[in-house]
Amino acid sequence: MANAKDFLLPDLGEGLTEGEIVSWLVAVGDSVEVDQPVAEVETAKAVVEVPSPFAGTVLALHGEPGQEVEVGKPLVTIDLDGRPAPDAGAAEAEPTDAATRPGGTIGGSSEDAEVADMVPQPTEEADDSGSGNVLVGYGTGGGRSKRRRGGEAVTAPAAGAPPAAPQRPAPRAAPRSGSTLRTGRPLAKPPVRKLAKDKGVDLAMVAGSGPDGIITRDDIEQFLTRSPGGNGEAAPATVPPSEDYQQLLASEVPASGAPPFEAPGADLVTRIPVKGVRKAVARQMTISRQQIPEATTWVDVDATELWALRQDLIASQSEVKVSPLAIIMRACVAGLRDFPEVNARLDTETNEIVLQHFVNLGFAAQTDSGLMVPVIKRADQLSTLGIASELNRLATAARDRSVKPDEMTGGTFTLSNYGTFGVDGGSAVINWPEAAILGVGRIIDRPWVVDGTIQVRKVQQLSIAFDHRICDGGEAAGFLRFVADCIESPTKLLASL
Amino acid sequence: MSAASNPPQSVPGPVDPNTLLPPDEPVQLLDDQGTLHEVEGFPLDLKDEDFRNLYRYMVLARRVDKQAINLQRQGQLGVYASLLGQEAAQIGGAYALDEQDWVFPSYREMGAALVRGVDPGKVLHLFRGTWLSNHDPMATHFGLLSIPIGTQALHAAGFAMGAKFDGKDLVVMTYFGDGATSEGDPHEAMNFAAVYDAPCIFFVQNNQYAISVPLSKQTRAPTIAHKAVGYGMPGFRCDGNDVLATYAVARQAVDRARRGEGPSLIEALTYRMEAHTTADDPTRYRTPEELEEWKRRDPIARFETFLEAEGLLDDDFRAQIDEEARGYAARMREEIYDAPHGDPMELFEHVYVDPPASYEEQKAMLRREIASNQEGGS
Repeated sequence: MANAKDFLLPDLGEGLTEGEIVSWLVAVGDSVEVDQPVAEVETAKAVVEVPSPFAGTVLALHGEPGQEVEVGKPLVTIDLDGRPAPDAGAAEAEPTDAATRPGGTIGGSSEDAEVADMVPQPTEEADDSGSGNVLVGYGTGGGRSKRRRGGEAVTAPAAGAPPAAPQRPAPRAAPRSGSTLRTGRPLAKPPVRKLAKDKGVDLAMVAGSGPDGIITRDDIEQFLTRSPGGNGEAAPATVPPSEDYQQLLASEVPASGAPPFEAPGADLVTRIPVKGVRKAVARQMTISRQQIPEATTWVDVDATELWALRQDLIASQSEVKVSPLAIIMRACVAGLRDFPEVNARLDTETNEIVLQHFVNLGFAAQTDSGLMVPVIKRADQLSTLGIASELNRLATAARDRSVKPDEMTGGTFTLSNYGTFGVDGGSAVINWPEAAILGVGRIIDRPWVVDGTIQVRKVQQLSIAFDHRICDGGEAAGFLRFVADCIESPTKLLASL
Repeated sequence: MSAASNPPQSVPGPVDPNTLLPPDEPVQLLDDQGTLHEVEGFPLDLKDEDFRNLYRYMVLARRVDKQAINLQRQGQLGVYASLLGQEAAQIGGAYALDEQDWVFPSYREMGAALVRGVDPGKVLHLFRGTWLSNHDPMATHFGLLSIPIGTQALHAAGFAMGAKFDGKDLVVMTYFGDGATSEGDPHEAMNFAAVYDAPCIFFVQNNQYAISVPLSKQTRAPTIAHKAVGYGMPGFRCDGNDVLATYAVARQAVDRARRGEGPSLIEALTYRMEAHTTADDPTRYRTPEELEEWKRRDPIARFETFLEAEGLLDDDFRAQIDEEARGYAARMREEIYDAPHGDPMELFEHVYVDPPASYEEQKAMLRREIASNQEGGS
């Protein structure tokens, strides 16, 4: 077998991912010297002659003119045994290279040809398909020509006579920081671009958190966390494309007045990268607290009747384990029908409040991976047991991370059951872009006045944080009171069903 | 306060700005036809051997340059900045230096590197990303190629000031381009060097474009050389494609610095016939006609015509240079081809004795990035 070696197409510019074969300068069976041009390749940057790194005989040309070759994939295969080893012929490979040969004369046609060859030729027309990688130089612009150079025949430019009137597109303005909408192609550095490609992620679906909206590795990872399928279908629901992430993320870090970072001994601190679920949570919380002028109100309730009802429900059937939370959820569904402003969202584009006549009920679930918010879809169509069943299923799925991305999106209202941590009260962060979140404290025996006497009752505290742009205290407190009443008197709940 | 306690060592009187102004016309010794014309104030002190050497360096530089481009197109270098067309400017300037003198280059100075006896392949490690360089700056008196625009001017000015304070007999030459004259670093360097009479030559290769920005968008000054007056140093201007002119002008500036008369600014008018770097497409910002015009002023061809007329160039000498060029090319390939990459964390070594917190943060950031790359690669 021949001593075959592949010459892999290198990154001919900076950060390019592919090149298009314009023409082959050698044929199968030809002998090539080290540095002998083997192909003319057009990249987003320019057309260049690619010189062989090996001497030998051409065994295979990988592709036809007009075809694209990915960077890192074989361009030419060369049989090294066909010729002397590399290096022996180093720099001998330019028989017509007058410009680099001592005594090369000026003004001769070979000289002109050489310089012309060394200067990338212009492409005929520009579009917006540049890679967007701007590392050195003026970037890739929109340099790829859509049509083949030279029209019907691929003709090499005449020696020394590049096209007389190359079109020189005006340099594209770099995306301004602070712009709210990404126009044109998404920006990402080559390794990130490759990662996206490997994972099948469409960069256009990913919000960039880097400077000028550049998409980072973390952005891809977070996107995948939300959307394991990688197709980005579920992404926009939780990450608004119209948000200025640079601004949002910048404010995740204390901007000013933050104490200077002092470097204690490495053993005194642990540094944990904010990524994956943690980063998603951080981002979601940041958006919420930055955008929503929220107000909070709360109330203590006597949950003794609820507790009893729950026991009855458990005793009455063996299919579903019913938690108090499931019943509170059912009460919420009933209450949201009466207080649609609490089950709304604000469309800032059109400046409209959107009342939602269906309920997708989210609930905060603490998992080993971090906070997740599974959503019980169309909870308004489910019975109490149906909600309990979904609650149990999704809570388990969240814990073992089998919960699907579309089971964590599309919520219209969320509950935070912080009572599971053994606490009574809290001021939950609204799960943007929803209008409100209900906080549910623990149920604990407390003294409670019943008909003028102090009794030991099951007592719970409820809170509601609401977007004051969408609703006022009347609606929010009204809703909260409704849920509280249902807890205190399940008869009221029944009456509302 | 510091000025009072550490004044300039010589306090010059008022300078007549007219003595600092560049001549109306750039100094040119060889006309476009390769005919030698003497210019007053810029005598040539070169022997036949020097003429041949200048030619040799220029041809070698062009061959080395082509080999570096090939290595980039074979995937061996990330990027490379060609000097095609600027050989005379670089080499004439560096040739005026003595062995004890120093050069602080930009990223385009492979020609100056050759004159300083630097093996070009060793310098190319910067473009491969394997290491800053593999040459010995202390042995060759050739600093590291500097990618940030104009920072080397500060190194040069500081080095020259240090040499002066130490009473060392050496001159420093730093190269930068027309684009760098709009940056703060060269400005500060030139100002400081002038204030302290530092033996420093600021050699500007004005190749007409800062990547794609033409000189007309770079400065409103009559010429770059005129800027020297503002610093209180003489400005020289020469045909940068005439190796005898760049040498003769540099000779004057170097001699002046060695006499303790302070720095000079040299503007050499030249043109890079290649792209700014291998990642650039110059056809988008300059015309083929312009390129044609400069190709007619090819510095090697012009000097060749002169040497042939003088009988200094024969086939033996050409063959000798050719063989030397092959040797350089082979060594460059040997040095660079598939050269292994080191540990990226080494970036953080050799800089601080007591690293600041931000530095540790950056170090940790890189470590995490490497770790996540390795995960991602599985």
